[in-house]
Amino acid sequence: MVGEKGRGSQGDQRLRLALAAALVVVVLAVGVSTRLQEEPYVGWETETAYAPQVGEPNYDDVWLLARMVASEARGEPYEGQVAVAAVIVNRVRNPRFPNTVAGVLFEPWAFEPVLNGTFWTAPVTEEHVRAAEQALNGWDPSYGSLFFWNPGTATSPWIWTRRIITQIGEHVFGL
Amino acid sequence: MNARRIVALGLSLLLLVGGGWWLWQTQRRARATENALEASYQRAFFDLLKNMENLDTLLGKSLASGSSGQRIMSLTSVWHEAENARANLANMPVGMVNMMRSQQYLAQLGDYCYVLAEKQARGLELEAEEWQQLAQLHEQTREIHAGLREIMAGIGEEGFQWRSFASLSRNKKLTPRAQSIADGFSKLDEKLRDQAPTLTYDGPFSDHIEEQEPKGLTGERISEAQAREIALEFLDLAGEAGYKIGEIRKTRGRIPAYSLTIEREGENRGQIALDVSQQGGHVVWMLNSRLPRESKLSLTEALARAEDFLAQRGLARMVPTGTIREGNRLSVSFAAQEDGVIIYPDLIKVTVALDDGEIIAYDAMGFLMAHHKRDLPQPKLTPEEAEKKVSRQMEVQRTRLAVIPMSNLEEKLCYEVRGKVNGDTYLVYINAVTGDEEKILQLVETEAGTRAM
Repeated sequence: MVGEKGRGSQGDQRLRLALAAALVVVVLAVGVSTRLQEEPYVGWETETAYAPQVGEPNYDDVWLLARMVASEARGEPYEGQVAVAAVIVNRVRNPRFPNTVAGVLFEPWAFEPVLNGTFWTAPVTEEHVRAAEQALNGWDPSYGSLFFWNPGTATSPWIWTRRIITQIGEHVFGL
Repeated sequence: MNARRIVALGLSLLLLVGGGWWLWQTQRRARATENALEASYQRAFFDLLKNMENLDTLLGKSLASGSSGQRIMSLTSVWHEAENARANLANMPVGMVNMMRSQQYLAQLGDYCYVLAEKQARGLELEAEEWQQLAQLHEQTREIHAGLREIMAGIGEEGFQWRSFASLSRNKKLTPRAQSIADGFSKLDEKLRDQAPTLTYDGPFSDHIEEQEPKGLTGERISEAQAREIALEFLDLAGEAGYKIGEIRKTRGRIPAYSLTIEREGENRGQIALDVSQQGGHVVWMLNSRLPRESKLSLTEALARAEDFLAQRGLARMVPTGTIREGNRLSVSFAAQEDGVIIYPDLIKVTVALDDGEIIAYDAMGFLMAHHKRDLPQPKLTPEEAEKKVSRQMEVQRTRLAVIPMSNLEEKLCYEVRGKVNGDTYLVYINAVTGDEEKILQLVETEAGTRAM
């Protein structure tokens, strides 16, 4: 009896272990698949004291540009953030690039944050919004640059053939 | 076999089936996404092909037509079709092949034809050189069209998918089929780089726009030490203590400058960055990273602060032309004024923090690019005559003389007639010499301020 009982509890343990493992697998699978289904994007940060109003005529451009600043130039000096947004604005006005902010940002393979999805997930702060607005209002610390790249991580050798205008923080700006 | 073993076996089977089903689902979803993406690339390509075919015919018709009315129609359609082609080209995953020259070609083609159409709509005839240019553009467009047809032959063959270009971002090799298509595109672009004409005309994409040189850079070259002095003077920090200047760098843009960063002690005092031009020591722009947390100043007070700021820096002749409020900041645009004429191209912008009135951003790029001594023509029209030129629906509020920049950077002396149509406010610009209507802006009034659209 004792032996039987002992084996029995061992079996119970195995069963419980198997059940627990199954549960973990199911939870993981459900978790991963819902995550795949709807990768959520983060809204304006709630602590933000100021966000542009939806009714503003250029709200759409501010919204997109602030996202680009948040995902590409987070942690950069403020003038570097303005410069990143200004490059997008410069492209919109240039014949070699599409003529809308969305057209420029979502050109296939144009920008890393759009490719890896951080464009939608990086938290947007008031500073990023201000940088986007300043660039849309004409401030351009990049002096008309059409490209920016990070000299430490840039993989394309082609990018180094561009004429360098300036460097701000981690980004080199060029034509 | 006891009951527990059966349960364990059943469970593992369930897991296997469940796992397999989940994998299959994921796979199916991934494939559906890929196919949708592939379809959007294919649509872009085939639409581009159609755009090029239409451009080819429309340019031919423009050359063949004997009636200027017909020609205006086909030239305007060229503009429309070329813009569509540009959007479709931008939607294709050939970014790594660098299609920038092709993009530029299409933009200029449309822009140029639009300008020609406009010219004829004003009752002017095309000149021999313009006919020649148009014929050359037709020839070039036909070649691109043919090139794309060749590429299409490759796309129809087995084993090609646009999305295989995606792998390039991970430095993988392309399949031979994909490689030959990528080569086809680069060849098209290279050909344009070699053959497409330089186009100088009265449109925003004309080649002369990018070669613009600053007109407002007066004065001698300055040293780094001088730039430092100018920056401190500009920020009212000369003779003060409690700040730190970072390393001074040089920029090599249209206006070569010294870049300075300044950090001040104390709370709520952001880092300041500013550029001082190497020639003449003009402050090109200034940005203070501070975010004002409240609004204590009225907009009138803030505007006065901005005006004082410019006056103290020797720019007393600037007049405010527009304001935008964004949160706790007010940005004011200023234009120069000469003999009562507003000079819009000489633009300076100032941002005031509404908590304490500090100037937290400044931009004189427009002013430094455009400002020079102008010989303004004598107006041939009186203000009353100009007002008669605007739409009869318009209820005129104010008329004044202004120099405005056209999209080709040319400047024109106009009467700026401000008035209302159906409750909306517009600025209509009537050329003070010829009486032509040069431009219309709609003023969109929001709580934030007024935007010209």
